[in-house]
Amino acid sequence: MFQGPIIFGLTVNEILLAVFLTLALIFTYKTLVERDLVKAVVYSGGEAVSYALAFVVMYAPDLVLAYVAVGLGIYSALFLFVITRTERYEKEVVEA
Amino acid sequence: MVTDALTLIGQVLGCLGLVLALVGAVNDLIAAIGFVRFKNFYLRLHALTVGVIGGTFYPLIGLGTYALFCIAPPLGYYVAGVSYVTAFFVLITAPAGSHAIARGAHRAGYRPEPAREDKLAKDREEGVME
Amino acid sequence: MLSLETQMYILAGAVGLYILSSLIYAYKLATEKSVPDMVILVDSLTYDLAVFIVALSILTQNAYLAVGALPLAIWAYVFDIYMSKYLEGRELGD
Repeated sequence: MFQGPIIFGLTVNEILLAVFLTLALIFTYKTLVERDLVKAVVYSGGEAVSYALAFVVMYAPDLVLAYVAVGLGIYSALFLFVITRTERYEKEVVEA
Repeated sequence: MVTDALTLIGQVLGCLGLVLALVGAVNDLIAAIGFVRFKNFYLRLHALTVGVIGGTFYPLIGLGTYALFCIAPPLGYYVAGVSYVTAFFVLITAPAGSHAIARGAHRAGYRPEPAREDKLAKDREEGVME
Repeated sequence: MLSLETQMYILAGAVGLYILSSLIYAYKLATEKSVPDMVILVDSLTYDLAVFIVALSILTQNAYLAVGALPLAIWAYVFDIYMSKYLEGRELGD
């Protein structure tokens, strides 16, 4: 078992967890504010990969299996199929 | 005597695998810098190839060899099998995927921006290729 | 040959380089404008994650952590194929 150094009272695992969850937060925000729906799907794929990195650091490989299969595979396939049936660009909402 | 020689050969192979993993990590860093520095999509495909073959396939082979020779048997065999099979599938699927995405990008209208001549687009306009 | 501690330090250095390049990929993904570039960036991030899983499994002597490496590579390929199908099916400039 390899013991890493302790930086500012935190172990390496905790620092990596903070970094990857911050990445997931950034990608979630980009998904919410994006007007192009295909770009939003790709951003949500990046968010799934960030969460998978966080789960690896927390030693949970079963969650990695499930999250990558759903978030990167099935979710993006389903949403691309839906986008082909509707419009790709989201319109500005007009205030009534 | 023979057993000692085999152990020594295993140690040497394991350390070579470890060095291969380190070289692969440097390759991956070079690919990441290439993604920042290159200007359009078709140039970035070169960086993707460096990142996949040099940064994923070689380190997986190296880590598998290290796990096979330098780690105690149950864990070592398990990790070696997983990494060899993953390396094989990455070697098969990654070039196919990058080819497919390049073809789709050219058909969707992404052109190489500073280009002297685009013969594929010209052939497609003249009807030589569908 | 190299001692066990030196081997573990070399492996930890490789893992650190992988984390650094993953952060560069994620920065580029957050500031990128065109769709195919973003797709191949997600690919690179996923392949990085596969090597990271195997290296961490050796580093912590934990066998069950290595399960997720193979499905990651396969799902990255599936994501590529879906996006290229979408891009081919419609004549859309961007």
